[in-house]
Amino acid sequence: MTTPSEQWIVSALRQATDRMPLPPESRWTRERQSTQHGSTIVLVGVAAALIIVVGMTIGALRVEPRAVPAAGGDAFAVAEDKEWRITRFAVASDLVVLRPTWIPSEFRGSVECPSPWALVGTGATPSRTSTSGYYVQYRGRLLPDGRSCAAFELYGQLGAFDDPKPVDGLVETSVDARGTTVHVRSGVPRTDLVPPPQLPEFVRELWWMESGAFYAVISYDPDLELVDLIRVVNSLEPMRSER
Amino acid sequence: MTAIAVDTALERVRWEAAYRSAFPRVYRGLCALGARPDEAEDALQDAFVKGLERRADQPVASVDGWIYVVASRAWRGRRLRERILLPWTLLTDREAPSLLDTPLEVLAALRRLPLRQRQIVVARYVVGLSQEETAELFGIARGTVSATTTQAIAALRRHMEVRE
Repeated sequence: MTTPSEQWIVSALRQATDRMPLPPESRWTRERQSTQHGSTIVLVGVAAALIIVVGMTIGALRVEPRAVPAAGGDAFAVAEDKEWRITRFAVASDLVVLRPTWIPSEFRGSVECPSPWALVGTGATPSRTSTSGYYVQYRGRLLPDGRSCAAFELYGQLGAFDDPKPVDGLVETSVDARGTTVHVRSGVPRTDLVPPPQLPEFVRELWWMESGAFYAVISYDPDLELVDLIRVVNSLEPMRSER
Repeated sequence: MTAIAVDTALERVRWEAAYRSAFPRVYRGLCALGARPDEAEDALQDAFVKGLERRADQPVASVDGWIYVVASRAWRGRRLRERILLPWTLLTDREAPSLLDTPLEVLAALRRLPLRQRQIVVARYVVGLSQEETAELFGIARGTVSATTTQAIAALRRHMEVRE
């Protein structure tokens, strides 16, 4: 590395990474507990029961609108704006990036679960450069397992996309939104694969085609109701390309 | 307490100290690669446990490098498993203007590089490994590290439209 511009890039990279916040030191060396199948089943059962109770309670108490537009001076709005700008900047200009103008306020992040987080350019097939897509995750509270966060994600990918293969445990249906058919499937995924892959305990996926691209909103939070996910879908608006 | 137990306890203390020293750089390196913060945390914890299980008579040349390589493999494995439900490909090699502030811009540009280039750039300039250490850890020739680094920096420069 000899030229000033190369040194400048390395310096910028170091500055950027030095700014990344670290998790609390108490979490650096947490040792893994082996997953107890029985306790997982109990947890899923309790979660299923809580879906109804908490869902009804939240629904009853929800009086204030929970609109979270990407505007204003709070830290979340600033972080959200940056992540979406990174997304718009990094993906192909012919992919329409759909950004939500409303999200449930529970997904504005927390100390343990910063939100949102954009991920671009980590495709499994590095040789493929003719397609592009984005992925932005909104996170909320720390889940009872103390490790994972309640979250929902937004995907966008250029081109046609085969419908995801059926997965045991997921119930499929569809709704009308954004003037098209939005496919929905939700439940607790199961698999007979050995060894079993790491699957979420609960997933709800909504996907559709629009403007020549595939889009999806995926929730891993059983407390996040379908009606709210549909509201997120309906709130999506194209981001202007800054190229 | 037996002598073996004392040795084991001492080894654990040494490993934990080395791990804690490496954590900030490797954590940020994983995030720069594209891992979410929770994924980076999980991957590092995997590496910590693997390090405890590692035989004491198999020393590593660079603790930072060893943790980085093991953690980045753990992260990639987790990502691939997650894609069972909904595979997606996120790649582009489009030119992009400099519209964002520099730290964000360089991260966005980094995320657009092929994985191997990203891994080596992060190993060299975020984790702080030498060319020799990087070559050994990735099982490649030193010249390959040098060439890959040069290509990656050139690509970052193109993405960021740096003018000399």
